[in-house]
Amino acid sequence: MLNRFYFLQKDLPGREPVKPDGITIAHLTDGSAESASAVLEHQYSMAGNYPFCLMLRDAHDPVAAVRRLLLFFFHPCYETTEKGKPLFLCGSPGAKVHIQKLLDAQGLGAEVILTGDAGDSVATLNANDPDPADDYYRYCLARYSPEDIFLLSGGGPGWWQGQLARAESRLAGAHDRFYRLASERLAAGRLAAKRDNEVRRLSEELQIMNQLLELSSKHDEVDHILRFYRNEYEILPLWYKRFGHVIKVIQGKRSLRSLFDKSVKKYKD
Amino acid sequence: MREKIEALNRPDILFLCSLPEKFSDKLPSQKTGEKFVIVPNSGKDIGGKLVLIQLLLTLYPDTPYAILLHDKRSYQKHSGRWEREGLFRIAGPELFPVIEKTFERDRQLGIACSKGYIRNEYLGNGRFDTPNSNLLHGMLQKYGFSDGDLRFVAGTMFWIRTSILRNFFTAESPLAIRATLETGNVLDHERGTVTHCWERMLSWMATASGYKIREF
Repeated sequence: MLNRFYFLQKDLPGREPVKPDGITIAHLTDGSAESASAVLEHQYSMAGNYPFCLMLRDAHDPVAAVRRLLLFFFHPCYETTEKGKPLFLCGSPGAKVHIQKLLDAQGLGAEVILTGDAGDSVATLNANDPDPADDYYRYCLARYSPEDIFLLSGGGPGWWQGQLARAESRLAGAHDRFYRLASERLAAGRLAAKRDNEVRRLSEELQIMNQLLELSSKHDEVDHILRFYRNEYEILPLWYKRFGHVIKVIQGKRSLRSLFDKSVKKYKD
Repeated sequence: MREKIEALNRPDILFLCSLPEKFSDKLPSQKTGEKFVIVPNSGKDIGGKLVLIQLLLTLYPDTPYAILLHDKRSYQKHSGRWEREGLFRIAGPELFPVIEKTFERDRQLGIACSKGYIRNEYLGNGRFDTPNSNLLHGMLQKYGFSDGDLRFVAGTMFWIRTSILRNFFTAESPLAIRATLETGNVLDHERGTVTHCWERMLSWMATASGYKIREF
Protein backbone atom coordinates (compact mmCIF):
# COMPACT_ATOMS: atom_id res chain seq x y z
CA MET A 1 0.00 0.00 0.00
CA LEU A 2 1.29 3.47 -0.93
CA ASN A 3 -0.39 5.26 2.01
CA ARG A 4 -1.63 4.48 5.50
CA PHE A 5 -5.27 3.36 5.65
CA TYR A 6 -7.51 3.21 8.71
CA PHE A 7 -10.82 1.44 8.65
CA LEU A 8 -13.29 3.21 10.95
CA GLN A 9 -14.71 0.47 13.16
CA LYS A 10 -17.93 1.57 14.82
CA ASP A 11 -18.86 -1.65 16.65
CA LEU A 12 -16.55 -4.29 17.98
CA PRO A 13 -15.69 -7.06 15.51
CA GLY A 14 -16.96 -10.54 16.35
CA ARG A 15 -14.94 -13.38 17.82
CA GLU A 16 -13.45 -14.26 14.44
CA PRO A 17 -9.87 -12.95 14.11
CA VAL A 18 -9.57 -9.86 11.91
CA LYS A 19 -6.80 -9.98 9.30
CA PRO A 20 -6.86 -6.66 7.50
CA ASP A 21 -3.53 -6.82 5.65
CA GLY A 22 -2.24 -3.27 5.10
CA ILE A 23 -5.33 -1.72 6.72
CA THR A 24 -5.39 -0.77 10.39
CA ILE A 25 -8.61 -0.96 12.37
CA ALA A 26 -9.38 2.41 14.00
CA HIS A 27 -11.86 1.88 16.83
CA LEU A 28 -14.22 4.83 17.07
CA THR A 29 -14.69 5.81 20.71
CA ASP A 30 -16.09 8.71 22.69
CA GLY A 31 -13.64 7.82 25.47
CA SER A 32 -16.40 6.99 27.98
CA ALA A 33 -15.52 4.41 30.64
CA GLU A 34 -18.04 1.99 29.10
CA SER A 35 -16.67 2.27 25.56
CA ALA A 36 -13.01 2.15 26.70
CA SER A 37 -13.55 -0.92 28.82
CA ALA A 38 -15.39 -2.83 26.03
CA VAL A 39 -12.65 -2.14 23.45
CA LEU A 40 -9.87 -2.96 25.92
CA GLU A 41 -11.43 -6.30 26.82
CA HIS A 42 -11.82 -7.11 23.12
CA GLN A 43 -8.21 -6.21 22.28
CA TYR A 44 -6.93 -8.28 25.20
CA SER A 45 -8.99 -11.30 24.12
CA MET A 46 -7.61 -13.83 21.64
CA ALA A 47 -9.69 -12.12 18.92
CA GLY A 48 -7.71 -8.91 19.46
CA ASN A 49 -4.48 -10.00 17.79
CA TYR A 50 -4.53 -7.47 14.97
CA PRO A 51 -3.11 -3.96 14.44
CA PHE A 52 -5.45 -1.27 15.71
CA CYS A 53 -5.54 2.31 16.84
CA LEU A 54 -8.12 4.62 18.40
CA MET A 55 -10.07 7.50 16.95
CA LEU A 56 -11.62 9.82 19.51
CA ARG A 57 -14.92 11.31 18.39
CA ASP A 58 -17.78 13.12 20.14
CA ALA A 59 -15.94 13.18 23.48
CA HIS A 60 -17.53 15.42 26.10
CA ASP A 61 -14.13 16.11 27.71
CA PRO A 62 -11.38 14.95 25.29
CA VAL A 63 -8.51 15.22 27.80
CA ALA A 64 -10.36 13.22 30.48
CA ALA A 65 -11.28 10.72 27.75
CA VAL A 66 -7.63 10.24 26.76
CA ARG A 67 -6.74 9.65 30.44
CA ARG A 68 -9.17 6.73 30.36
CA LEU A 69 -7.66 5.48 27.10
CA LEU A 70 -3.98 5.57 28.15
CA LEU A 71 -3.71 1.81 28.66
CA PHE A 72 -4.40 1.17 24.96
CA PHE A 73 -1.15 2.81 23.91
CA PHE A 74 0.81 0.04 25.66
CA HIS A 75 -1.01 -2.78 23.87
CA PRO A 76 1.44 -4.78 21.69
CA CYS A 77 -0.83 -4.47 18.63
CA TYR A 78 -1.38 -0.72 18.93
CA GLU A 79 -0.46 0.96 15.65
CA THR A 80 2.84 2.83 15.62
CA THR A 81 4.22 5.08 12.93
CA GLU A 82 7.48 4.38 11.11
CA LYS A 83 9.29 6.16 13.94
CA GLY A 84 7.76 3.80 16.46
CA LYS A 85 5.32 6.35 17.90
CA PRO A 86 1.75 5.30 18.72
CA LEU A 87 -0.77 6.94 16.43
CA PHE A 88 -3.89 8.61 17.79
CA LEU A 89 -6.67 10.00 15.61
CA CYS A 90 -8.46 12.86 17.26
CA GLY A 91 -11.56 14.80 16.23
CA SER A 92 -11.09 17.58 18.83
CA PRO A 93 -8.63 20.20 17.49
CA GLY A 94 -8.80 22.33 20.66
CA ALA A 95 -7.54 19.51 22.85
CA LYS A 96 -4.56 18.44 20.72
CA VAL A 97 -1.90 20.22 22.80
CA HIS A 98 -3.23 18.86 26.11
CA ILE A 99 -3.59 15.35 24.72
CA GLN A 100 -0.06 15.45 23.33
CA LYS A 101 1.24 16.56 26.74
CA LEU A 102 -0.60 13.73 28.47
CA LEU A 103 0.87 11.14 26.12
CA ASP A 104 4.37 12.64 26.31
CA ALA A 105 4.27 12.38 30.11
CA GLN A 106 3.95 8.61 29.66
CA GLY A 107 7.09 8.63 27.47
CA LEU A 108 5.00 7.66 24.47
CA GLY A 109 5.76 10.61 22.17
CA ALA A 110 2.57 9.66 20.35
CA GLU A 111 1.61 11.18 17.01
CA VAL A 112 -1.74 12.90 17.47
CA ILE A 113 -3.42 13.37 14.10
CA LEU A 114 -6.40 15.64 13.76
CA THR A 115 -9.28 14.49 11.63
CA GLY A 116 -12.16 16.55 10.25
CA ASP A 117 -12.06 20.08 8.80
CA ALA A 118 -9.07 21.27 10.85
CA GLY A 119 -7.32 17.98 10.19
CA ASP A 120 -3.75 17.22 9.22
CA SER A 121 -3.21 15.42 5.91
CA VAL A 122 -6.24 13.20 6.38
CA ALA A 123 -8.79 12.27 3.73
CA THR A 124 -11.81 10.01 3.91
CA LEU A 125 -12.79 7.40 1.34
CA ASN A 126 -16.43 6.45 1.58
CA ALA A 127 -17.86 3.07 0.61
CA ASN A 128 -21.10 4.77 -0.48
CA ASP A 129 -19.33 6.88 -3.12
CA PRO A 130 -19.77 5.61 -6.71
CA ASP A 131 -16.17 4.41 -7.18
CA PRO A 132 -13.78 4.94 -4.22
CA ALA A 133 -11.02 2.91 -5.94
CA ASP A 134 -11.10 5.40 -8.81
CA ASP A 135 -11.06 8.32 -6.33
CA TYR A 136 -7.84 6.96 -4.81
CA TYR A 137 -6.34 6.30 -8.26
CA ARG A 138 -6.99 9.90 -9.32
CA TYR A 139 -5.59 11.22 -5.99
CA CYS A 140 -2.32 9.32 -6.62
CA LEU A 141 -1.91 10.88 -10.05
CA ALA A 142 -2.87 14.40 -8.97
CA ARG A 143 -1.40 15.05 -5.51
CA TYR A 144 0.17 11.92 -4.00
CA SER A 145 2.13 12.29 -0.77
CA PRO A 146 3.35 9.32 1.31
CA GLU A 147 2.55 11.32 4.46
CA ASP A 148 -1.20 11.44 3.71
CA ILE A 149 -3.46 9.07 5.54
CA PHE A 150 -6.90 7.78 4.58
CA LEU A 151 -9.87 6.96 6.75
CA LEU A 152 -12.05 4.25 5.27
CA SER A 153 -15.72 4.65 6.07
CA GLY A 154 -18.43 2.02 5.53
CA GLY A 155 -18.02 -1.36 3.86
CA GLY A 156 -15.62 -3.70 5.65
CA PRO A 157 -11.84 -4.16 5.85
CA GLY A 158 -11.95 -7.02 3.35
CA TRP A 159 -14.02 -5.01 0.87
CA TRP A 160 -11.59 -2.09 1.14
CA GLN A 161 -8.64 -4.36 0.61
CA GLY A 162 -10.15 -5.36 -2.72
CA GLN A 163 -10.83 -1.75 -3.73
CA LEU A 164 -7.31 -0.55 -2.89
CA ALA A 165 -5.67 -3.54 -4.55
CA ARG A 166 -7.65 -2.71 -7.71
CA ALA A 167 -6.48 0.93 -7.64
CA GLU A 168 -2.86 -0.08 -7.08
CA SER A 169 -2.81 -2.68 -9.81
CA ARG A 170 -4.26 -0.06 -12.20
CA LEU A 171 -1.46 2.32 -11.14
CA ALA A 172 1.22 -0.35 -11.52
CA GLY A 173 -0.03 -1.15 -15.00
CA ALA A 174 -0.61 2.35 -16.39
CA HIS A 175 2.02 4.31 -14.45
CA ASP A 176 4.71 1.76 -13.75
CA ARG A 177 7.50 4.28 -13.01
CA PHE A 178 5.39 6.28 -10.53
CA TYR A 179 4.27 3.13 -8.74
CA ARG A 180 7.83 1.77 -8.48
CA LEU A 181 9.24 5.07 -7.19
CA ALA A 182 6.45 5.50 -4.64
CA SER A 183 6.94 1.91 -3.39
CA GLU A 184 10.70 2.38 -3.14
CA ARG A 185 10.21 5.69 -1.32
CA LEU A 186 8.01 3.94 1.24
CA ALA A 187 10.49 1.09 1.75
CA ALA A 188 13.39 3.56 2.12
CA GLY A 189 11.39 5.59 4.65
CA ARG A 190 10.72 2.47 6.73
CA LEU A 191 14.38 1.46 6.63
CA ALA A 192 15.54 4.96 7.65
CA ALA A 193 13.09 4.99 10.56
CA LYS A 194 14.29 1.56 11.66
CA ARG A 195 17.91 2.74 11.60
CA ASP A 196 16.94 5.89 13.57
CA ASN A 197 15.37 3.71 16.24
CA GLU A 198 18.47 1.54 16.33
CA VAL A 199 20.73 4.59 16.77
CA ARG A 200 18.51 5.88 19.56
CA ARG A 201 18.57 2.51 21.34
CA LEU A 202 22.35 2.18 21.04
CA SER A 203 22.92 5.74 22.29
CA GLU A 204 20.78 4.99 25.32
CA GLU A 205 22.66 1.76 25.99
CA LEU A 206 25.98 3.58 25.68
CA GLN A 207 24.81 6.17 28.17
CA ILE A 208 23.81 3.44 30.64
CA MET A 209 27.15 1.65 30.24
CA ASN A 210 29.04 4.91 30.88
CA GLN A 211 26.91 5.53 33.95
CA LEU A 212 27.64 2.07 35.32
CA LEU A 213 31.34 2.38 34.55
CA GLU A 214 31.48 5.64 36.47
CA LEU A 215 29.58 4.09 39.32
CA SER A 216 31.76 1.01 39.56
CA SER A 217 34.90 3.16 39.70
CA LYS A 218 33.46 4.97 42.71
CA HIS A 219 32.10 1.96 44.52
CA ASP A 220 34.08 -1.27 44.48
CA GLU A 221 31.71 -3.97 45.65
CA VAL A 222 34.38 -6.72 45.64
CA ASP A 223 36.46 -4.64 48.02
CA HIS A 224 33.39 -4.10 50.18
CA ILE A 225 32.66 -7.86 50.36
CA LEU A 226 36.32 -8.71 51.17
CA ARG A 227 36.36 -6.09 53.93
CA PHE A 228 33.10 -7.45 55.31
CA TYR A 229 34.50 -11.02 55.28
CA ARG A 230 37.67 -9.95 57.06
CA ASN A 231 35.81 -7.98 59.73
CA GLU A 232 33.29 -10.75 60.34
CA TYR A 233 35.52 -13.82 60.16
CA GLU A 234 39.27 -13.28 59.73
CA ILE A 235 39.47 -10.82 62.57
CA LEU A 236 38.11 -13.31 65.14
CA PRO A 237 40.65 -14.70 67.67
CA LEU A 238 41.99 -18.21 67.06
CA TRP A 239 40.60 -19.61 70.34
CA TYR A 240 37.10 -18.50 69.27
CA LYS A 241 37.37 -20.46 66.04
CA ARG A 242 38.81 -23.52 67.81
CA PHE A 243 35.95 -23.42 70.31
CA GLY A 244 33.59 -23.51 67.32
CA HIS A 245 35.31 -26.67 66.04
CA VAL A 246 34.79 -28.37 69.42
CA ILE A 247 31.06 -27.51 69.27
CA LYS A 248 30.87 -29.08 65.80
CA VAL A 249 32.43 -32.28 67.20
CA ILE A 250 29.86 -32.29 70.05
CA GLN A 251 27.05 -31.81 67.50
CA GLY A 252 28.40 -34.75 65.53
CA LYS A 253 29.07 -32.71 62.42
CA ARG A 254 32.84 -33.20 62.62
CA SER A 255 35.07 -36.10 63.70
CA LEU A 256 37.15 -35.76 66.88
CA ARG A 257 40.23 -37.08 65.10
CA SER A 258 40.13 -34.26 62.56
CA LEU A 259 40.99 -31.78 65.34
CA PHE A 260 44.43 -33.41 65.70
CA ASP A 261 45.07 -34.96 62.30
CA LYS A 262 44.91 -32.77 59.20
CA SER A 263 45.03 -35.74 56.83
CA VAL A 264 41.62 -37.13 57.82
CA LYS A 265 38.31 -36.04 56.38
CA LYS A 266 36.99 -33.11 58.44
CA TYR A 267 33.24 -33.13 57.97
CA LYS A 268 30.82 -36.03 57.92
CA ASP A 269 28.47 -36.18 54.91
CA MET B 1 10.76 -16.11 33.89
CA ARG B 2 7.92 -17.32 31.68
CA GLU B 3 9.31 -20.87 31.80
CA LYS B 4 9.51 -20.78 35.59
CA ILE B 5 5.86 -19.77 35.83
CA GLU B 6 4.78 -22.33 33.21
CA ALA B 7 6.59 -25.03 35.19
CA LEU B 8 4.14 -24.42 38.05
CA ASN B 9 1.43 -25.79 35.76
CA ARG B 10 -1.30 -23.50 37.06
CA PRO B 11 -4.07 -21.60 35.30
CA ASP B 12 -2.83 -18.21 36.53
CA ILE B 13 -2.63 -15.28 34.14
CA LEU B 14 0.75 -13.86 33.31
CA PHE B 15 0.95 -10.09 32.82
CA LEU B 16 4.11 -9.29 30.89
CA CYS B 17 5.85 -6.01 30.24
CA SER B 18 8.74 -5.32 27.90
CA LEU B 19 10.50 -2.43 26.20
CA PRO B 20 9.63 -1.35 22.61
CA GLU B 21 13.30 -1.71 21.57
CA LYS B 22 13.10 -5.46 22.17
CA PHE B 23 10.53 -5.82 19.40
CA SER B 24 11.80 -3.60 16.60
CA ASP B 25 10.97 -6.18 13.92
CA LYS B 26 8.02 -8.20 15.12
CA LEU B 27 5.63 -7.47 17.95
CA PRO B 28 4.58 -10.24 20.34
CA SER B 29 1.19 -11.76 19.65
CA GLN B 30 -0.98 -12.62 22.60
CA LYS B 31 -1.27 -16.14 23.89
CA THR B 32 -3.94 -17.68 26.08
CA GLY B 33 -3.29 -16.76 29.69
CA GLU B 34 -0.91 -13.92 28.83
CA LYS B 35 -1.51 -10.18 28.69
CA PHE B 36 1.30 -8.16 27.18
CA VAL B 37 2.21 -4.48 27.38
CA ILE B 38 5.02 -2.70 25.56
CA VAL B 39 6.17 0.18 27.70
CA PRO B 40 8.90 2.79 27.15
CA ASN B 41 11.37 3.01 30.01
CA SER B 42 10.00 5.37 32.62
CA GLY B 43 10.80 4.48 36.20
CA LYS B 44 12.51 1.19 35.27
CA ASP B 45 10.62 -1.85 36.63
CA ILE B 46 8.37 0.35 38.81
CA GLY B 47 6.99 2.15 35.73
CA GLY B 48 6.27 -1.16 34.01
CA LYS B 49 4.68 -2.60 37.14
CA LEU B 50 2.37 0.42 37.45
CA VAL B 51 1.10 -0.16 33.89
CA LEU B 52 0.56 -3.86 34.66
CA ILE B 53 -1.25 -3.04 37.92
CA GLN B 54 -3.60 -0.71 36.01
CA LEU B 55 -4.24 -3.45 33.43
CA LEU B 56 -4.80 -6.09 36.12
CA LEU B 57 -7.25 -3.89 38.03
CA THR B 58 -9.11 -3.07 34.79
CA LEU B 59 -9.36 -6.58 33.38
CA TYR B 60 -9.41 -8.71 36.55
CA PRO B 61 -10.35 -6.47 39.49
CA ASP B 62 -11.33 -9.41 41.69
CA THR B 63 -8.07 -11.37 41.46
CA PRO B 64 -7.13 -12.29 45.05
CA TYR B 65 -3.33 -12.05 44.80
CA ALA B 66 -0.69 -10.71 42.45
CA ILE B 67 3.01 -11.55 42.32
CA LEU B 68 5.30 -8.75 41.20
CA LEU B 69 8.49 -9.93 39.54
CA HIS B 70 10.98 -8.47 37.12
CA ASP B 71 14.06 -9.46 35.20
CA LYS B 72 16.41 -7.95 37.77
CA ARG B 73 19.75 -7.17 36.23
CA SER B 74 21.41 -4.69 38.63
CA TYR B 75 24.53 -4.34 36.50
CA GLN B 76 25.94 -2.03 39.16
CA LYS B 77 26.22 -4.99 41.56
CA HIS B 78 28.40 -8.08 41.21
CA SER B 79 25.80 -9.93 43.25
CA GLY B 80 22.91 -9.05 40.88
CA ARG B 81 22.43 -12.53 39.45
CA TRP B 82 22.61 -14.23 42.82
CA GLU B 83 20.10 -11.74 44.23
CA ARG B 84 17.70 -12.43 41.37
CA GLU B 85 17.63 -16.16 42.08
CA GLY B 86 16.84 -15.42 45.72
CA LEU B 87 14.05 -13.03 44.83
CA PHE B 88 12.47 -15.47 42.34
CA ARG B 89 12.05 -18.16 45.00
CA ILE B 90 8.57 -16.84 45.86
CA ALA B 91 7.34 -17.96 42.43
CA GLY B 92 9.14 -21.31 42.63
CA PRO B 93 7.44 -24.71 43.02
CA GLU B 94 8.44 -25.03 46.70
CA LEU B 95 7.23 -21.70 48.04
CA PHE B 96 4.26 -21.01 45.74
CA PRO B 97 1.75 -23.33 47.48
CA VAL B 98 3.09 -22.47 50.93
CA ILE B 99 2.62 -18.74 50.41
CA GLU B 100 -0.81 -19.20 48.85
CA LYS B 101 -2.03 -21.25 51.83
CA THR B 102 -0.58 -18.73 54.29
CA PHE B 103 -2.44 -15.90 52.55
CA GLU B 104 -5.70 -17.86 52.76
CA ARG B 105 -5.16 -18.61 56.46
CA ASP B 106 -3.83 -15.25 57.63
CA ARG B 107 -6.17 -12.44 56.58
CA GLN B 108 -3.74 -9.82 57.92
CA LEU B 109 -0.91 -10.93 55.66
CA GLY B 110 -0.56 -8.27 52.95
CA ILE B 111 2.84 -8.96 51.37
CA ALA B 112 5.01 -12.08 51.14
CA CYS B 113 8.62 -11.93 49.96
CA SER B 114 11.83 -13.94 49.90
CA LYS B 115 13.87 -14.24 53.07
CA GLY B 116 16.39 -11.47 53.63
CA TYR B 117 14.82 -8.77 51.51
CA ILE B 118 12.88 -6.78 54.08
CA ARG B 119 14.62 -3.49 54.79
CA ASN B 120 13.96 -0.68 57.20
CA GLU B 121 15.67 2.65 56.59
CA TYR B 122 13.54 4.69 58.96
CA LEU B 123 15.57 6.67 61.50
CA GLY B 124 12.63 8.40 63.19
CA ASN B 125 11.42 12.01 63.00
CA GLY B 126 10.59 11.69 59.30
CA ARG B 127 14.20 10.86 58.34
CA PHE B 128 15.45 7.86 56.38
CA ASP B 129 18.90 6.36 55.91
CA THR B 130 18.91 6.88 52.13
CA PRO B 131 19.44 9.73 49.64
CA ASN B 132 15.65 9.44 49.05
CA SER B 133 14.92 10.67 52.58
CA ASN B 134 13.42 14.08 51.79
CA LEU B 135 11.30 12.74 48.95
CA LEU B 136 10.05 9.86 51.11
CA HIS B 137 9.11 12.21 53.92
CA GLY B 138 7.10 14.31 51.45
CA MET B 139 5.33 11.24 50.08
CA LEU B 140 4.39 9.95 53.54
CA GLN B 141 2.70 13.26 54.22
CA LYS B 142 1.08 13.51 50.79
CA TYR B 143 -0.52 10.07 50.99
CA GLY B 144 -1.25 10.25 54.73
CA PHE B 145 0.82 7.17 55.66
CA SER B 146 1.70 6.87 59.35
CA ASP B 147 5.28 6.17 60.44
CA GLY B 148 4.25 2.96 62.24
CA ASP B 149 5.71 0.20 60.07
CA LEU B 150 7.97 1.56 57.35
CA ARG B 151 9.66 -1.67 56.36
CA PHE B 152 9.73 -2.42 52.65
CA VAL B 153 10.71 -5.22 50.31
CA ALA B 154 13.95 -4.38 48.51
CA GLY B 155 13.90 -5.45 44.86
CA THR B 156 10.09 -5.03 44.60
CA MET B 157 9.40 -8.72 44.00
CA PHE B 158 6.63 -10.02 46.21
CA TRP B 159 3.15 -11.42 46.54
CA ILE B 160 0.55 -8.81 47.38
CA ARG B 161 -3.12 -9.01 48.21
CA THR B 162 -4.81 -7.35 45.21
CA SER B 163 -7.36 -5.60 47.45
CA ILE B 164 -4.47 -3.46 48.77
CA LEU B 165 -3.63 -2.34 45.23
CA ARG B 166 -7.30 -1.79 44.45
CA ASN B 167 -7.90 0.35 47.53
CA PHE B 168 -4.89 2.57 46.89
CA PHE B 169 -5.03 2.86 43.12
CA THR B 170 -8.76 3.58 42.93
CA ALA B 171 -7.95 7.00 44.34
CA GLU B 172 -4.51 7.40 42.73
CA SER B 173 -4.17 6.42 39.08
CA PRO B 174 -1.10 4.21 38.50
CA LEU B 175 -0.50 5.89 35.15
CA ALA B 176 -0.68 9.38 36.67
CA ILE B 177 1.98 8.23 39.16
CA ARG B 178 4.03 6.71 36.33
CA ALA B 179 4.09 10.12 34.64
CA THR B 180 6.06 11.45 37.63
CA LEU B 181 8.85 8.85 37.41
CA GLU B 182 12.29 9.51 35.97
CA THR B 183 13.28 8.11 32.57
CA GLY B 184 16.37 6.05 31.73
CA ASN B 185 18.46 3.82 33.97
CA VAL B 186 17.85 5.91 37.05
CA LEU B 187 19.99 5.17 40.14
CA ASP B 188 19.68 6.53 43.69
CA HIS B 189 23.25 6.21 44.94
CA GLU B 190 23.86 9.92 45.12
CA ARG B 191 20.50 11.63 44.70
CA GLY B 192 17.00 10.60 45.66
CA THR B 193 14.56 9.63 42.92
CA VAL B 194 10.77 9.41 42.75
CA THR B 195 11.17 5.98 41.16
CA HIS B 196 13.02 4.56 44.18
CA CYS B 197 10.50 6.16 46.52
CA TRP B 198 7.69 4.25 44.81
CA GLU B 199 9.69 1.05 45.31
CA ARG B 200 9.12 1.68 49.03
CA MET B 201 5.59 3.04 48.65
CA LEU B 202 4.38 -0.22 47.08
CA SER B 203 5.17 -1.95 50.40
CA TRP B 204 3.92 0.89 52.57
CA MET B 205 0.49 0.91 50.97
CA ALA B 206 0.09 -2.51 52.63
CA THR B 207 1.58 -1.67 56.03
CA ALA B 208 -0.29 1.67 56.15
CA SER B 209 -3.55 -0.28 55.84
CA GLY B 210 -2.63 -2.49 58.79
CA TYR B 211 -1.36 -5.49 56.79
CA LYS B 212 1.78 -7.45 57.63
CA ILE B 213 4.86 -8.21 55.54
CA ARG B 214 6.33 -11.69 55.96
CA GLU B 215 9.46 -13.40 54.64
CA PHE B 216 9.44 -16.97 53.29
